[in-house]
Amino acid sequence: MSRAADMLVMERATRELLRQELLKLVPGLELVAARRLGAGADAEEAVQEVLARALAAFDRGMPASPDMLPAFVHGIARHVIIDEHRRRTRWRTDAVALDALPAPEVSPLQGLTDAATQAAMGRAMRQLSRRDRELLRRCFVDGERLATIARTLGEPASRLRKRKSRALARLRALLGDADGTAGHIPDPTATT
Amino acid sequence: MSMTAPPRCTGEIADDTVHRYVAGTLGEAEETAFEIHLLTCAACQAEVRTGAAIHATLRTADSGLASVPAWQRSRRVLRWALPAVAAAALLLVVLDRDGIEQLGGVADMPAFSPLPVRSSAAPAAQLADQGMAAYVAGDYRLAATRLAEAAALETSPGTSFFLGMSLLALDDATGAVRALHAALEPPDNAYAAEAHYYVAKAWLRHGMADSALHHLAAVPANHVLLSGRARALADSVRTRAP
Repeated sequence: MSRAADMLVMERATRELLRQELLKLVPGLELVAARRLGAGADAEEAVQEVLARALAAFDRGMPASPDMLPAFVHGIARHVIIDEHRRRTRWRTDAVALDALPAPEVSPLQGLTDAATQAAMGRAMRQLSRRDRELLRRCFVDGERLATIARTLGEPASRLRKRKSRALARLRALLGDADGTAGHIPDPTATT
Repeated sequence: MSMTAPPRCTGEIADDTVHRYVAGTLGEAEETAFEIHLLTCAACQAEVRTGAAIHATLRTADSGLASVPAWQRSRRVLRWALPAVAAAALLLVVLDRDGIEQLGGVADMPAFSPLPVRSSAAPAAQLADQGMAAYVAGDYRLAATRLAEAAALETSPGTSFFLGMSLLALDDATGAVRALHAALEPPDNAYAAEAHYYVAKAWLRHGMADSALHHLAAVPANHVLLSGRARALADSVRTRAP
């Protein structure tokens, strides 16, 4: 086989490998899109657009190596997300109200959690101590660093790390297995 | 939602990166680095999904789980209600915050003097011009709105910096942190030193002394206006931080 033919075979093999690796990135891409755009149709469309642009780039020989794929795909995702923000801005530029800034109390990840899961999580949370709930609130709602929380509470950060880890493990245990049923926690409002 | 114990993350991810990502308090560079990792890490994906459920549950007002003391809740309401009442006055008035949060006040907003050049017809430039006109007039709400629109079209350190300052004036410390972090890129831009100083102020409003000290230390020692103020503020933070 000629050298040119060898190269062609290698290029095809690389492209195929990139396609396979790209598919593995989809769950993470969905989270990134939801984080930046809010969970919903816009995020789903953004993921499809990222995949389409990535596949087109593969045909142009980019990226050079599968090792570079996550950063390369993240770069595409950034552009797609910026494009989506531009589209939204154009749509509302003329009629923008003064309070059109994103509401600071709403998290874009909120939409990832359906009502049933949230209700089950609420019941599981009630099984935790008030101190552990407060720790999780300061972590996952206020986004504080563990070192900062440790200092304000006068506790070693290592102890807080363990406490947070144990609280998360207890939540997982309470919420049951992967089928999403909150098996161990009876719903006090449920009727049988 | 899967709630089984996730596989272990094999990356070098700090203990608080996931929860800070969920809460939206990572800096832009940290967020980008974590998201690239997130694309390939099933463990972190599971942690983010779990964290999102915790976040949603604890934020829901009627969940009965909000364990923030009542006095703190009223302070939060005050913080969000004040801009509508008197945004400008907020800059001069120190709220009833205790400890290092008091140090997050801004007595003098950075001045902006428009250059006498013909402005661009590009939409981003026009929005930025409108935003800066509002900023100079002290209308920080309108300034924040226009500058946010301009930044969505085209990022620039200047737009991000004055957007961050407008949000700080409106007491949106979280928004200010995000915008001022964006003004730090590229690191040697003309607004970077001031952005470090004021993002420290924004972090102080969150009560986060470590983050504030990190940014105060990044203000160049030879900065004519800010080096002395940054040192003095850092000393005050160290004195008051628990």
